[in-house]
Amino acid sequence: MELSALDDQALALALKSGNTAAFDELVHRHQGRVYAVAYRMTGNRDDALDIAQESLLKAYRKIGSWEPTGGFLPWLLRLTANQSIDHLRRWKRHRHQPLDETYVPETEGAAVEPAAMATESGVRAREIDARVRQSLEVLSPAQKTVFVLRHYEGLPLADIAQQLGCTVGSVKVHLFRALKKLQKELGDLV
Amino acid sequence: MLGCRKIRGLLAASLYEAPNEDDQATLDRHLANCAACREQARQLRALHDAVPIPPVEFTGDLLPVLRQRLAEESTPFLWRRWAMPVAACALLVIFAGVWFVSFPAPEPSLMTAQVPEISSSPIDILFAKAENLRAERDFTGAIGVLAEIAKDYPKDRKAAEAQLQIADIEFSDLQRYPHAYEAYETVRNNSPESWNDAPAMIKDRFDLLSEACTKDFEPLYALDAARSGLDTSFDKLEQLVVRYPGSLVAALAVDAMCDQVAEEADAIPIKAAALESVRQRCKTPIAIAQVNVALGDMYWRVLHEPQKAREYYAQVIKSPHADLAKVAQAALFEIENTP
Repeated sequence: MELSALDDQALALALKSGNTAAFDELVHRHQGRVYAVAYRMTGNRDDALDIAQESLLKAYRKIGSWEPTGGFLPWLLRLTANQSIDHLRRWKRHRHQPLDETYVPETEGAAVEPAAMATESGVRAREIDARVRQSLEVLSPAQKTVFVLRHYEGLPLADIAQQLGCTVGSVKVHLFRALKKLQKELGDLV
Repeated sequence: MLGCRKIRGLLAASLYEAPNEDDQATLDRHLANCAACREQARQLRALHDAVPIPPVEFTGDLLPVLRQRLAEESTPFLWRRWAMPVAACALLVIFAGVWFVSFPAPEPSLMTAQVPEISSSPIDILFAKAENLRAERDFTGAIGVLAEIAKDYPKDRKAAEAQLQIADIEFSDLQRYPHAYEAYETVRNNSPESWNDAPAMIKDRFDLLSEACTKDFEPLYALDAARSGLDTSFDKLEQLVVRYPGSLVAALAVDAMCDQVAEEADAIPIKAAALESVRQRCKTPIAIAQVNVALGDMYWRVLHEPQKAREYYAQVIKSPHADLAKVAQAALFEIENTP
Protein backbone atom coordinates (compact mmCIF):
# COMPACT_ATOMS: atom_id res chain seq x y z
CA MET A 1 0.00 0.00 0.00
CA GLU A 2 1.18 3.52 -0.81
CA LEU A 3 2.29 5.43 2.26
CA SER A 4 0.22 8.39 1.11
CA ALA A 5 -2.88 6.23 1.51
CA LEU A 6 -2.19 5.62 5.19
CA ASP A 7 -3.64 7.78 7.92
CA ASP A 8 -1.46 9.61 10.44
CA GLN A 9 -1.73 6.92 13.08
CA ALA A 10 -0.59 4.21 10.70
CA LEU A 11 2.28 6.34 9.45
CA ALA A 12 3.37 7.20 12.97
CA LEU A 13 3.30 3.53 13.92
CA ALA A 14 5.33 2.72 10.81
CA LEU A 15 7.87 5.36 11.76
CA LYS A 16 7.94 4.07 15.29
CA SER A 17 8.84 0.65 13.96
CA GLY A 18 11.69 2.07 11.88
CA ASN A 19 10.14 2.97 8.53
CA THR A 20 11.80 6.30 7.82
CA ALA A 21 9.84 6.78 4.59
CA ALA A 22 6.81 7.26 6.82
CA PHE A 23 8.58 10.28 8.28
CA ASP A 24 8.85 11.82 4.80
CA GLU A 25 5.13 11.45 4.28
CA LEU A 26 4.31 12.89 7.71
CA VAL A 27 6.57 15.88 7.02
CA HIS A 28 4.90 16.54 3.67
CA ARG A 29 1.53 16.25 5.28
CA HIS A 30 2.06 18.45 8.33
CA GLN A 31 4.99 20.80 7.83
CA GLY A 32 2.62 23.65 6.99
CA ARG A 33 0.68 23.28 10.23
CA VAL A 34 3.85 22.89 12.25
CA TYR A 35 5.15 26.09 10.72
CA ALA A 36 1.84 27.84 11.36
CA VAL A 37 1.86 26.93 15.06
CA ALA A 38 5.47 28.05 15.42
CA TYR A 39 4.64 31.29 13.66
CA ARG A 40 1.59 31.91 15.83
CA MET A 41 3.60 31.22 18.96
CA THR A 42 6.59 33.38 18.07
CA GLY A 43 5.25 35.94 15.61
CA ASN A 44 8.43 35.67 13.60
CA ARG A 45 8.92 33.88 10.32
CA ASP A 46 12.62 33.10 10.64
CA ASP A 47 12.13 31.71 14.12
CA ALA A 48 9.11 29.76 12.96
CA LEU A 49 11.14 28.07 10.22
CA ASP A 50 13.85 27.12 12.69
CA ILE A 51 11.30 25.85 15.17
CA ALA A 52 9.43 23.90 12.51
CA GLN A 53 12.66 22.15 11.57
CA GLU A 54 13.56 21.40 15.16
CA SER A 55 10.07 20.21 16.00
CA LEU A 56 9.95 17.79 13.08
CA LEU A 57 13.41 16.49 13.98
CA LYS A 58 12.28 16.10 17.57
CA ALA A 59 9.23 14.17 16.41
CA TYR A 60 11.54 11.84 14.49
CA ARG A 61 13.80 11.34 17.49
CA LYS A 62 11.02 10.97 20.00
CA ILE A 63 8.54 8.93 18.05
CA GLY A 64 9.38 6.10 20.44
CA SER A 65 7.58 7.98 23.18
CA TRP A 66 4.47 8.67 21.12
CA GLU A 67 1.55 6.58 22.29
CA PRO A 68 -0.92 5.42 19.64
CA THR A 69 -3.75 6.14 22.08
CA GLY A 70 -3.26 9.84 21.35
CA GLY A 71 -3.47 11.41 17.92
CA PHE A 72 -0.21 12.01 16.09
CA LEU A 73 -1.02 15.55 14.97
CA PRO A 74 -1.92 16.87 18.45
CA TRP A 75 1.31 15.31 19.71
CA LEU A 76 3.32 16.92 16.92
CA LEU A 77 1.72 20.32 17.43
CA ARG A 78 2.28 20.10 21.18
CA LEU A 79 5.97 19.37 20.51
CA THR A 80 5.99 22.44 18.28
CA ALA A 81 4.31 24.61 20.90
CA ASN A 82 6.82 23.44 23.53
CA GLN A 83 9.69 24.03 21.16
CA SER A 84 8.37 27.54 20.53
CA ILE A 85 8.09 28.27 24.24
CA ASP A 86 11.62 27.00 24.83
CA HIS A 87 12.81 29.15 21.95
CA LEU A 88 11.16 32.27 23.34
CA ARG A 89 12.58 31.60 26.77
CA ARG A 90 16.03 30.88 25.47
CA TRP A 91 16.38 33.91 23.35
CA LYS A 92 14.03 36.25 25.13
CA ARG A 93 13.33 38.02 21.94
CA HIS A 94 10.09 38.76 20.25
CA ARG A 95 10.83 40.22 16.91
CA HIS A 96 8.02 41.38 14.71
CA GLN A 97 7.85 41.83 11.02
CA PRO A 98 4.93 43.06 8.97
CA LEU A 99 2.55 40.30 8.09
CA ASP A 100 2.50 41.17 4.43
CA GLU A 101 6.20 40.78 3.94
CA THR A 102 6.82 37.61 2.07
CA TYR A 103 9.79 35.48 2.72
CA VAL A 104 10.91 32.84 0.32
CA PRO A 105 14.02 30.95 1.37
CA GLU A 106 15.66 29.26 -1.53
CA THR A 107 16.24 25.87 -0.04
CA GLU A 108 14.30 25.34 3.12
CA GLY A 109 10.78 26.12 2.20
CA ALA A 110 8.81 29.24 1.75
CA ALA A 111 6.66 30.89 4.32
CA VAL A 112 4.09 33.10 2.77
CA GLU A 113 2.05 35.24 5.08
CA PRO A 114 -1.60 36.00 4.64
CA ALA A 115 -2.14 36.88 1.05
CA ALA A 116 -5.47 37.81 -0.51
CA MET A 117 -6.14 40.53 2.01
CA ALA A 118 -6.33 43.40 -0.39
CA THR A 119 -9.90 44.37 0.30
CA GLU A 120 -10.84 46.96 2.91
CA SER A 121 -12.09 44.27 5.23
CA GLY A 122 -8.94 42.34 4.49
CA VAL A 123 -6.79 45.28 5.49
CA ARG A 124 -8.81 45.68 8.66
CA ALA A 125 -8.44 41.98 9.44
CA ARG A 126 -4.74 42.25 8.86
CA GLU A 127 -4.46 45.15 11.27
CA ILE A 128 -6.37 43.23 13.89
CA ASP A 129 -4.26 40.15 13.32
CA ALA A 130 -1.10 42.19 13.84
CA ARG A 131 -2.53 43.52 17.10
CA VAL A 132 -3.53 40.03 18.17
CA ARG A 133 -0.05 38.79 17.42
CA GLN A 134 1.41 41.45 19.70
CA SER A 135 -1.19 40.76 22.35
CA LEU A 136 -0.34 37.05 22.45
CA GLU A 137 2.87 38.03 24.19
CA VAL A 138 1.00 38.84 27.36
CA LEU A 139 -0.28 35.28 27.64
CA SER A 140 1.44 32.70 29.81
CA PRO A 141 2.98 29.76 27.94
CA ALA A 142 0.04 27.52 28.80
CA GLN A 143 -2.52 30.14 27.83
CA LYS A 144 -0.77 30.83 24.57
CA THR A 145 -0.45 27.14 23.76
CA VAL A 146 -4.11 26.49 24.44
CA PHE A 147 -5.27 29.56 22.53
CA VAL A 148 -3.11 28.88 19.48
CA LEU A 149 -3.98 25.19 19.31
CA ARG A 150 -7.71 25.80 19.79
CA HIS A 151 -8.39 29.11 18.08
CA TYR A 152 -6.02 28.86 15.14
CA GLU A 153 -5.45 25.15 14.75
CA GLY A 154 -8.89 23.97 15.77
CA LEU A 155 -7.68 21.13 17.96
CA PRO A 156 -10.41 19.78 20.23
CA LEU A 157 -10.01 20.84 23.86
CA ALA A 158 -9.91 17.19 24.91
CA ASP A 159 -6.91 16.54 22.64
CA ILE A 160 -5.13 19.60 23.97
CA ALA A 161 -5.76 18.45 27.52
CA GLN A 162 -4.37 15.02 26.74
CA GLN A 163 -1.25 16.49 25.21
CA LEU A 164 -0.69 18.94 28.04
CA GLY A 165 -1.29 16.23 30.62
CA CYS A 166 -4.06 18.12 32.38
CA THR A 167 -7.83 18.03 32.64
CA VAL A 168 -10.19 19.46 30.08
CA GLY A 169 -11.46 21.76 32.82
CA SER A 170 -7.97 23.15 33.29
CA VAL A 171 -7.64 23.75 29.54
CA LYS A 172 -10.96 25.59 29.55
CA VAL A 173 -9.72 27.83 32.34
CA HIS A 174 -6.51 28.57 30.39
CA LEU A 175 -8.65 29.39 27.38
CA PHE A 176 -10.87 31.71 29.39
CA ARG A 177 -7.89 33.53 30.88
CA ALA A 178 -6.31 33.86 27.45
CA LEU A 179 -9.48 35.37 26.05
CA LYS A 180 -9.84 37.72 29.00
CA LYS A 181 -6.29 38.99 28.57
CA LEU A 182 -6.81 39.43 24.84
CA GLN A 183 -10.06 41.23 25.54
CA LYS A 184 -8.19 43.64 27.75
CA GLU A 185 -5.50 44.18 25.13
CA LEU A 186 -7.88 44.46 22.19
CA GLY A 187 -10.83 46.10 23.89
CA ASP A 188 -10.77 49.07 21.54
CA LEU A 189 -11.07 46.86 18.49
CA VAL A 190 -13.97 44.75 19.62
CA MET B 1 -26.22 27.13 40.76
CA LEU B 2 -22.52 27.13 39.95
CA GLY B 3 -20.59 30.27 40.87
CA CYS B 4 -19.41 32.73 38.24
CA ARG B 5 -15.81 31.55 38.51
CA LYS B 6 -16.78 27.98 37.74
CA ILE B 7 -18.86 29.00 34.77
CA ARG B 8 -16.06 30.86 33.00
CA GLY B 9 -14.29 27.84 31.58
CA LEU B 10 -17.57 26.61 30.15
CA LEU B 11 -18.22 30.03 28.73
CA ALA B 12 -14.88 30.11 26.90
CA ALA B 13 -15.16 26.52 25.73
CA SER B 14 -18.67 27.08 24.37
CA LEU B 15 -17.26 29.59 21.89
CA TYR B 16 -15.41 26.76 20.21
CA GLU B 17 -17.22 23.54 20.97
CA ALA B 18 -20.87 22.83 21.55
CA PRO B 19 -21.30 21.94 25.23
CA ASN B 20 -22.89 18.64 26.17
CA GLU B 21 -26.45 18.73 27.40
CA ASP B 22 -25.56 19.03 31.07
CA ASP B 23 -23.04 21.82 30.50
CA GLN B 24 -25.45 23.65 28.21
CA ALA B 25 -28.17 23.43 30.84
CA THR B 26 -25.74 24.68 33.49
CA LEU B 27 -24.71 27.58 31.28
CA ASP B 28 -28.28 28.51 30.38
CA ARG B 29 -29.37 28.38 33.99
CA HIS B 30 -26.46 30.54 35.12
CA LEU B 31 -26.72 33.11 32.35
CA ALA B 32 -30.44 33.48 32.90
CA ASN B 33 -29.74 34.63 36.44
CA CYS B 34 -26.42 36.48 36.13
CA ALA B 35 -26.24 39.73 34.23
CA ALA B 36 -22.46 40.01 34.74
CA CYS B 37 -21.78 36.66 33.10
CA ARG B 38 -24.21 37.47 30.30
CA GLU B 39 -22.17 40.59 29.60
CA GLN B 40 -18.97 38.58 29.90
CA ALA B 41 -20.32 36.05 27.43
CA ARG B 42 -21.26 38.81 25.01
CA GLN B 43 -17.80 40.36 25.19
CA LEU B 44 -16.01 37.07 24.76
CA ARG B 45 -18.19 36.19 21.77
CA ALA B 46 -17.39 39.59 20.22
CA LEU B 47 -13.69 39.03 20.79
CA HIS B 48 -13.83 35.49 19.46
CA ASP B 49 -15.56 36.66 16.30
CA ALA B 50 -13.22 39.61 15.88
CA VAL B 51 -9.96 37.70 16.09
CA PRO B 52 -9.33 36.66 12.52
CA ILE B 53 -7.78 33.40 11.50
CA PRO B 54 -5.81 34.39 8.45
CA PRO B 55 -4.10 31.52 6.73
CA VAL B 56 -0.41 31.06 7.38
CA GLU B 57 0.53 29.57 4.10
CA PHE B 58 3.62 27.49 3.75
CA THR B 59 5.10 26.55 0.42
CA GLY B 60 8.32 24.74 -0.25
CA ASP B 61 9.62 21.71 1.52
CA LEU B 62 11.55 21.23 4.74
CA LEU B 63 12.26 17.61 3.98
CA PRO B 64 15.62 18.08 2.20
CA VAL B 65 16.97 20.04 5.16
CA LEU B 66 15.61 17.52 7.63
CA ARG B 67 17.14 14.64 5.69
CA GLN B 68 20.46 16.42 5.64
CA ARG B 69 20.31 17.08 9.38
CA LEU B 70 19.41 13.49 10.13
CA ALA B 71 22.17 12.23 7.86
CA GLU B 72 24.69 14.44 9.65
CA GLU B 73 23.52 13.11 12.96
CA SER B 74 23.48 9.48 11.97
CA THR B 75 26.75 9.39 10.05
CA PRO B 76 28.92 8.73 13.08
CA PHE B 77 26.39 6.46 14.69
CA LEU B 78 25.41 3.09 13.43
CA TRP B 79 22.19 2.90 15.28
CA ARG B 80 18.80 4.43 15.69
CA ARG B 81 18.45 6.40 18.90
CA TRP B 82 15.47 4.61 20.33
CA ALA B 83 16.19 1.17 19.03
CA MET B 84 19.80 0.69 19.96
CA PRO B 85 20.57 -1.93 22.55
CA VAL B 86 22.88 -0.84 25.27
CA ALA B 87 25.53 -3.33 24.25
CA ALA B 88 26.05 -1.64 20.94
CA CYS B 89 26.95 1.66 22.56
CA ALA B 90 30.64 1.45 21.90
CA LEU B 91 31.90 3.65 19.17
CA LEU B 92 32.39 7.20 18.59
CA VAL B 93 32.76 10.74 19.04
CA ILE B 94 31.75 13.08 21.68
CA PHE B 95 32.45 16.14 24.76
CA ALA B 96 32.24 18.78 28.54
CA GLY B 97 32.67 22.30 29.62
CA VAL B 98 33.36 21.32 33.19
CA TRP B 99 36.00 19.08 31.81
CA PHE B 100 38.61 21.74 32.15
CA VAL B 101 38.29 21.26 35.87
CA SER B 102 39.67 17.79 35.57
CA PHE B 103 42.00 18.44 32.72
CA PRO B 104 43.65 21.63 33.82
CA ALA B 105 45.99 23.26 31.39
CA PRO B 106 49.64 22.98 32.35
CA GLU B 107 50.92 25.59 34.75
CA PRO B 108 51.93 28.74 32.82
CA SER B 109 55.50 28.49 33.92
CA LEU B 110 55.72 24.93 32.72
CA MET B 111 54.10 25.87 29.45
CA THR B 112 56.51 28.70 28.96
CA ALA B 113 59.55 26.72 29.87
CA GLN B 114 58.94 23.52 27.99
CA VAL B 115 56.43 24.17 25.29
CA PRO B 116 56.45 27.89 24.65
CA GLU B 117 54.28 27.69 21.56
CA ILE B 118 51.60 25.57 23.21
CA SER B 119 49.03 28.33 23.29
CA SER B 120 48.92 28.31 19.51
CA SER B 121 49.35 24.60 18.90
CA PRO B 122 47.02 23.12 16.28
CA ILE B 123 45.13 21.17 18.91
CA ASP B 124 44.53 24.27 21.04
CA ILE B 125 43.42 26.21 17.99
CA LEU B 126 40.91 23.47 17.28
CA PHE B 127 39.64 23.54 20.87
CA ALA B 128 39.26 27.31 20.66
CA LYS B 129 37.42 26.96 17.38
CA ALA B 130 35.05 24.40 18.90
CA GLU B 131 34.45 26.67 21.87
CA ASN B 132 33.59 29.57 19.59
CA LEU B 133 31.24 27.46 17.52
CA ARG B 134 29.51 26.28 20.66
CA ALA B 135 29.18 29.84 21.91
CA GLU B 136 27.52 30.67 18.61
CA ARG B 137 25.20 27.69 19.15
CA ASP B 138 26.60 25.88 16.13
CA PHE B 139 26.64 22.62 18.03
CA THR B 140 27.01 20.41 14.99
CA GLY B 141 30.03 22.42 13.91
CA ALA B 142 31.56 22.24 17.37
CA ILE B 143 31.06 18.48 17.53
CA GLY B 144 32.66 18.14 14.11
CA VAL B 145 35.78 20.00 15.21
CA LEU B 146 36.03 18.05 18.46
CA ALA B 147 35.55 14.75 16.62
CA GLU B 148 38.39 15.80 14.38
CA ILE B 149 40.62 16.26 17.44
CA ALA B 150 39.63 12.87 18.80
CA LYS B 151 40.35 11.24 15.47
CA ASP B 152 43.57 13.04 14.63
CA TYR B 153 45.16 12.83 18.07
CA PRO B 154 44.05 9.40 19.28
CA LYS B 155 47.03 8.95 21.59
CA ASP B 156 46.79 12.36 23.13
CA ARG B 157 45.00 12.86 26.41
CA LYS B 158 43.27 15.71 24.61
CA ALA B 159 41.33 13.14 22.57
CA ALA B 160 39.51 12.15 25.73
CA GLU B 161 38.94 15.78 26.57
CA ALA B 162 37.47 16.35 23.12
CA GLN B 163 35.16 13.39 23.50
CA LEU B 164 34.00 14.58 26.89
CA GLN B 165 33.26 17.97 25.41
CA ILE B 166 31.27 16.33 22.64
CA ALA B 167 29.32 14.39 25.25
CA ASP B 168 28.57 17.58 27.15
CA ILE B 169 27.20 19.24 24.03
CA GLU B 170 25.12 16.18 23.28
CA PHE B 171 23.79 16.09 26.83
CA SER B 172 23.39 19.74 27.73
CA ASP B 173 22.75 21.51 24.46
CA LEU B 174 21.18 18.92 22.20
CA GLN B 175 19.65 16.52 24.71
CA ARG B 176 20.73 13.64 22.50
CA TYR B 177 21.21 11.25 25.36
CA PRO B 178 22.19 8.09 23.46
CA HIS B 179 24.97 10.05 21.78
CA ALA B 180 26.12 11.49 25.09
CA TYR B 181 26.08 8.04 26.67
CA GLU B 182 28.07 6.60 23.82
CA ALA B 183 30.65 9.35 24.09
CA TYR B 184 31.17 8.82 27.79
CA GLU B 185 31.40 5.09 27.19
CA THR B 186 34.11 5.71 24.61
CA VAL B 187 36.18 7.65 27.12
CA ARG B 188 35.64 5.03 29.81
CA ASN B 189 36.72 2.24 27.49
CA ASN B 190 39.53 3.94 25.62
CA SER B 191 40.94 6.33 28.20
CA PRO B 192 40.43 4.84 31.66
CA GLU B 193 42.99 7.19 33.18
CA SER B 194 41.21 10.23 31.87
CA TRP B 195 37.91 8.81 33.06
CA ASN B 196 39.27 8.28 36.56
CA ASP B 197 40.39 11.89 36.66
CA ALA B 198 37.07 13.22 35.41
CA PRO B 199 35.04 15.27 37.88
CA ALA B 200 32.33 13.65 39.96
CA MET B 201 29.67 15.59 38.10
CA ILE B 202 30.54 13.79 34.89
CA LYS B 203 30.42 10.42 36.60
CA ASP B 204 27.07 11.30 38.16
CA ARG B 205 25.81 12.21 34.74
CA PHE B 206 27.10 8.95 33.33
CA ASP B 207 25.28 7.04 36.09
CA LEU B 208 22.11 8.87 35.12
CA LEU B 209 22.61 7.99 31.46
CA SER B 210 23.41 4.37 32.29
CA GLU B 211 20.21 4.07 34.25
CA ALA B 212 18.15 5.73 31.51
CA CYS B 213 19.84 3.67 28.81
CA THR B 214 18.08 0.54 30.03
CA LYS B 215 14.78 2.24 29.16
CA ASP B 216 15.86 3.69 25.82
CA PHE B 217 16.47 7.02 27.57
CA GLU B 218 12.75 7.56 27.81
CA PRO B 219 12.95 8.77 31.46
CA LEU B 220 15.24 11.61 30.44
CA TYR B 221 13.04 12.68 27.55
CA ALA B 222 10.06 12.55 29.88
CA LEU B 223 11.97 14.67 32.39
CA ASP B 224 12.73 17.23 29.68
CA ALA B 225 9.09 17.30 28.68
CA ALA B 226 7.96 17.70 32.28
CA ARG B 227 10.41 20.51 32.80
CA SER B 228 9.24 22.25 29.66
CA GLY B 229 7.56 24.86 31.77
CA LEU B 230 3.86 24.68 31.11
CA ASP B 231 1.56 25.15 34.08
CA THR B 232 1.02 21.42 34.29
CA SER B 233 4.69 20.76 34.88
CA PHE B 234 4.41 19.87 38.56
CA ASP B 235 1.85 17.16 37.87
CA LYS B 236 3.97 15.80 35.05
CA LEU B 237 7.00 15.66 37.31
CA GLU B 238 4.99 13.81 39.91
CA GLN B 239 3.83 11.35 37.27
CA LEU B 240 7.47 10.84 36.35
CA VAL B 241 8.35 10.03 39.94
CA VAL B 242 5.50 7.54 40.08
CA ARG B 243 6.67 5.94 36.84
CA TYR B 244 10.31 5.60 37.88
CA PRO B 245 10.36 5.55 41.69
CA GLY B 246 13.74 5.16 43.33
CA SER B 247 15.59 6.16 40.17
CA LEU B 248 18.00 9.02 39.63
CA VAL B 249 15.50 10.56 37.25
CA ALA B 250 12.90 10.49 40.01
CA ALA B 251 15.34 12.30 42.30
CA LEU B 252 15.92 14.92 39.60
CA ALA B 253 12.18 15.26 39.13
CA VAL B 254 11.81 15.94 42.85
CA ASP B 255 14.54 18.59 42.55
CA ALA B 256 12.65 20.18 39.68
CA MET B 257 9.46 20.13 41.74
CA CYS B 258 11.35 21.95 44.51
CA ASP B 259 12.43 24.58 42.01
CA GLN B 260 8.82 25.10 41.07
CA VAL B 261 7.65 25.39 44.63
CA ALA B 262 10.50 27.71 45.50
CA GLU B 263 9.64 29.88 42.52
CA GLU B 264 6.06 30.02 43.60
CA ALA B 265 6.94 30.87 47.19
CA ASP B 266 10.05 32.98 47.26
CA ALA B 267 9.97 33.04 51.06
CA ILE B 268 11.12 29.43 51.18
CA PRO B 269 14.84 29.80 51.60
CA ILE B 270 16.06 26.27 51.99
CA LYS B 271 15.66 23.05 50.19
CA ALA B 272 14.16 21.18 53.13
CA ALA B 273 11.31 23.67 53.33
CA ALA B 274 10.79 23.38 49.58
CA LEU B 275 10.73 19.59 49.89
CA GLU B 276 8.11 19.86 52.62
CA SER B 277 5.98 21.97 50.30
CA VAL B 278 6.44 19.51 47.48
CA ARG B 279 5.41 16.68 49.77
CA GLN B 280 2.24 18.48 50.72
CA ARG B 281 1.41 19.14 47.10
CA CYS B 282 2.02 15.59 45.88
CA LYS B 283 -1.08 13.48 45.52
CA THR B 284 0.28 9.97 45.06
CA PRO B 285 1.71 7.74 47.80
CA ILE B 286 4.74 6.75 45.72
CA ALA B 287 5.65 10.36 44.99
CA ILE B 288 5.20 11.25 48.65
CA ALA B 289 7.49 8.35 49.57
CA GLN B 290 10.12 9.54 47.10
CA VAL B 291 9.99 13.04 48.59
CA ASN B 292 10.21 11.54 52.07
CA VAL B 293 13.43 9.79 51.02
CA ALA B 294 14.76 13.13 49.79
CA LEU B 295 13.75 14.75 53.07
CA GLY B 296 15.36 11.95 55.07
CA ASP B 297 18.55 12.34 53.04
CA MET B 298 18.44 16.09 53.52
CA TYR B 299 18.08 15.85 57.28
CA TRP B 300 20.52 12.98 57.66
CA ARG B 301 23.29 13.82 55.23
CA VAL B 302 23.07 17.60 54.93
CA LEU B 303 21.52 18.99 58.07
CA HIS B 304 22.79 16.18 60.35
CA GLU B 305 19.54 15.83 62.22
CA PRO B 306 19.21 12.05 62.53
CA GLN B 307 16.06 12.14 64.62
CA LYS B 308 14.15 14.07 62.02
CA ALA B 309 15.64 11.94 59.24
CA ARG B 310 14.41 8.80 61.05
CA GLU B 311 10.86 10.11 60.99
CA TYR B 312 10.87 10.52 57.23
CA TYR B 313 12.60 7.24 56.52
CA ALA B 314 10.20 5.46 58.87
CA GLN B 315 7.28 6.69 56.76
CA VAL B 316 8.92 5.37 53.62
CA ILE B 317 9.23 1.86 55.03
CA LYS B 318 5.46 1.63 54.65
CA SER B 319 5.77 2.81 51.05
CA PRO B 320 3.89 0.91 48.36
CA HIS B 321 7.13 0.74 46.42
CA ALA B 322 9.56 -1.94 47.57
CA ASP B 323 12.73 -0.26 46.27
CA LEU B 324 11.99 2.96 48.10
CA ALA B 325 11.24 1.00 51.25
CA LYS B 326 14.63 -0.74 50.92
CA VAL B 327 16.40 2.59 50.51
CA ALA B 328 14.74 3.84 53.69
CA GLN B 329 15.61 0.67 55.59
CA ALA B 330 19.24 0.93 54.54
CA ALA B 331 19.36 4.59 55.61
CA LEU B 332 17.80 3.78 58.97
CA PHE B 333 20.33 1.00 59.47
CA GLU B 334 23.10 3.47 58.65
CA ILE B 335 21.76 6.00 61.16
CA GLU B 336 21.46 3.40 63.90
CA ASN B 337 25.02 2.22 63.32
CA THR B 338 26.64 5.60 63.10
CA PRO B 339 28.19 6.70 66.38
